[in-house]
Amino acid sequence: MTIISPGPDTEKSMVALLHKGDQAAFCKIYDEYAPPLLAIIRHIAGDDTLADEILRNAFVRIWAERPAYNPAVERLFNWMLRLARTVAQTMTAQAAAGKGAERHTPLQEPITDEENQMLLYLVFFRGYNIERVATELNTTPELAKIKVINAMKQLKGKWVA
Amino acid sequence: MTSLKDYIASGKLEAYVLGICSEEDSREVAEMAEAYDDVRKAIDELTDVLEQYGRAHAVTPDPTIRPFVMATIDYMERLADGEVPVAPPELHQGSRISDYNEWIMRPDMELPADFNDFYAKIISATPERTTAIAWLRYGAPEEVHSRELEKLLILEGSCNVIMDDTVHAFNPGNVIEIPLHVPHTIIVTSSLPCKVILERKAA
Repeated sequence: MTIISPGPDTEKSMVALLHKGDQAAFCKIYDEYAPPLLAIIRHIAGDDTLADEILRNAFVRIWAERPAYNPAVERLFNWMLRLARTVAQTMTAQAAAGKGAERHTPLQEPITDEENQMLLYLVFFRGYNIERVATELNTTPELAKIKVINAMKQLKGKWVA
Repeated sequence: MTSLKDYIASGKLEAYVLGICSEEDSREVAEMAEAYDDVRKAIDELTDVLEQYGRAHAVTPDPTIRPFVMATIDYMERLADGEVPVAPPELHQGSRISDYNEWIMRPDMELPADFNDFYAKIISATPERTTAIAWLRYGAPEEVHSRELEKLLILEGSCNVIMDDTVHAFNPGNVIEIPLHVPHTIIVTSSLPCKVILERKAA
């Protein structure tokens, strides 16, 4: 599968415009990154209507907090993803509290049955923090963290090698 | 430079990219990435992995979300530039178009030339209630509101609202109230875009 993502020059020019407060550039950034972000947000929210609200709020926050993005540290996608996940986790927790019940559906079959994939699935798609992964695996947070990191390393070997 | 290699292999970068590291580690990773190209490159490689993962499962968002985001940003910028927020009257069955003249007449609340299919200008937004002027060229895809009561006042043009398999026709001056949990679709029936006052109130 070919996966198109913007080249470094395109991203650089978009970031420059974003820092200047260019709303048209922000539209382009939305078009580019909203689809992959929404995929992840939907998994965390477990509800498509809530996911839409999260996406809306996430992009408003991305705009509001754009001065905090430092291109020397990470790519724009990573910064946006970290911010979107924070919004998704907060709003999903609020929605669950409002309903007075656990909103997440029971743990579904992960993408593959390998434990590594499942760990990444929990963290990346379901937005679990390390404590929750540890509970799920019936282990300590320290061990859970090492396992997740190892899973990420293996995945990196598979996708980027 | 073995120590840098060790740092890259320490697992901290993976934890940072996945958003599972402590605030302290997060600051440290950011500083290291800024100082050392190799650290930055390692973070980029990990980001590529996540981005490819996300793109492989990408979902096209509902087309009304982007205009809504842009309208919110526009409103935030207006407030930052010193606009004083004024609460417009709440929409109800007896509302008249002239109740909103103050905003309808505003020169910065006109439809831009490069208008696509949906455009909105926010009049006021609070956690309880958002009021906007919105323009729809074709309509709005099916939606269900579970936490926000939506009301519309038609200003120009006309539209049909389909709810529960029933078609309701609306003309200028008409008020539409969308009940919670009811799937509804809006179809513009005029050749000109349908201009409305749109109110969303926390249920």
